[in-house]
Amino acid sequence: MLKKRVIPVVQLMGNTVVKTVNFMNPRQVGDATATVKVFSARSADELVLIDIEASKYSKQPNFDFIEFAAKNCSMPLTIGGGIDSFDTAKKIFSAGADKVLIGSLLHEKLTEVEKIATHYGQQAVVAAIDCRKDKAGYITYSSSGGEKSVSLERHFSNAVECGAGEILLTSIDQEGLMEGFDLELIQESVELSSLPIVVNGGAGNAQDFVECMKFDISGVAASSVFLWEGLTIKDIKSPLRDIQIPLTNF
Amino acid sequence: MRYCKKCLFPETKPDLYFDEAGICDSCRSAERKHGIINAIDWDDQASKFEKLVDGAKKNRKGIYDCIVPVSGGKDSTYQVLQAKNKHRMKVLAVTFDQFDQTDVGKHNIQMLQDIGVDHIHFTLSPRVVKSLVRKGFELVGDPYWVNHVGIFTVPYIFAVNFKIPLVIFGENPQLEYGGPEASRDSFIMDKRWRQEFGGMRGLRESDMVDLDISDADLAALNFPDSDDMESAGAMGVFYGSFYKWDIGLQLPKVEEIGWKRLPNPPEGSWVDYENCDMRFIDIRERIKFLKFGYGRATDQINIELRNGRISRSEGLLLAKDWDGNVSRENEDAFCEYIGIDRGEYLSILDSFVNKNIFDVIDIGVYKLKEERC
Repeated sequence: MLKKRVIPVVQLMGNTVVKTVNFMNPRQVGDATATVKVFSARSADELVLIDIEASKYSKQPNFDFIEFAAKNCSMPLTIGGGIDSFDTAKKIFSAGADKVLIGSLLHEKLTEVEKIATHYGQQAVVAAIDCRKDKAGYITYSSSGGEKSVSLERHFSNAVECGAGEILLTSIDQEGLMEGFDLELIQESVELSSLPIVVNGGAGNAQDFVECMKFDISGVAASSVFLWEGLTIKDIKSPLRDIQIPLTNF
Repeated sequence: MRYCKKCLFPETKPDLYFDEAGICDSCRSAERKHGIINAIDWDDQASKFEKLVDGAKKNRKGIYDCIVPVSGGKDSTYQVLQAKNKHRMKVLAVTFDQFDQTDVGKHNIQMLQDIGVDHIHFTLSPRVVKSLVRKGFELVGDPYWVNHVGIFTVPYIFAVNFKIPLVIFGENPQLEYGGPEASRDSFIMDKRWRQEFGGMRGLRESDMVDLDISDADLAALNFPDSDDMESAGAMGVFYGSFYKWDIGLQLPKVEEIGWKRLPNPPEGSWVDYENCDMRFIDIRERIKFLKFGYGRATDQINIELRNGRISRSEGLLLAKDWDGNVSRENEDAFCEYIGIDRGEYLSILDSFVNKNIFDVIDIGVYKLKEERC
């Protein structure tokens, strides 16, 4: 059985760590260097850094900082935000990232994503699928939740089609609230997706991870719970081990 | 970079919020504090505190009404005076030992004996402290991580074990220096506050466990469980949420009884009456300057600016002169204390420099890309 992962997600605006609620009102938390060093010291299973402004304002990713993070990071590093082309992805890999997280480009230019997956391999491409629930069901959004896009089912197919290796599924409705994951969304996604899913958005305590890991997913990602509640990877993994969830040995 | 139109805070300061007029929430809170706009009703706040005091006296299960965490600084000395003389409480002062204590700091701690309160001076194993100072510096750029955690935790350990109902901290930092809206009027200091605002910078006690440091070494830094807090009837509050915090009025009161300032302001600071007990404060504040583009002098000037005792243009000149300055002698002593050489020290500092706002001039020399305004 594949080991399940616990993955911290760090939202960035330039060199500043921020935290949003429902993808809005970014609150400035602190400096990016300290955050990267802390998570590296904790040996999480992976670290995801997302520049939440880059795509919105068509800014280039901060390559110097990615290089710093890659040097200081002992675990796989995934970089998201502002990846608008194969060339940008190439620069991110050159800076030392292990994977790229593709959000808006997956809505706009599938062929470009395909090019990245072909060149760097499926394992290096994570599809960021952000969704909200409305009357018709779950709808995906691009541009950090700014623009409505296709249905969840359609977007899972897009991810497969362009050669992504994994999904980072975020419930915008739950993101930042710390009130638990959207379990209905997870159930539906597990049924719809043929790709492994990492679930994100809503973790408020260690028990939320336990509930989430019971589904057939490859990992759980979280942000606020590390910043405000003060949980560490160790705090989260301990109750998961108690119910025999297969985990890495960190 | 955008700066508050009233004070000198930049937009890079964590947890600072600007309104449409370009004014930061710290300045807006000062207006409320000083009764200019949306005034805080201090009489009402004082009566709320008196109720807490009455409750503590009535319900205490041990021999003390309150704990005042005391560094020996002007604020905590003032709190002790107020708790004992104004509120007539039976006070237990609790100090978390300062690893880099100054002579002035030592004198000021001794003064507690003159005030006449019982006092516990708690010293975490110096071996552990040294290791935590080094890790705090390397990982989050703050040599005082252990002191933040200590002073926001150890008093609660005593509150729970001695069944002391009130732990009285000083100013409410979110009201004085900026913070999310809900936190500005909250007077409670609890575990959640410690995690979110207590200067831990995302680093937790359990992160510190390694080959040299065990869980048991850190036991005194673990915040008591909420069940333990409840059964002891213990809660923590900010005195500055109930009484208007004004250093101009408080300082003469503590000086009158013999509290001493530093001979000169530390490098990077503007006043001689703050951080009197922290020899390496200039190092912490230099890193803050390199991370966010402002330092301790700005914090201090802003307070006087909001109190109407200095103008913004005067303050700006002073901040440019003082912010980020550091004493080479202190740097060398600090390196010796944690056992690193100057090259390592400068490389750790460099890792925290926000290169979006600073140009690198030379090794260890940085200049803000844009002139402060």
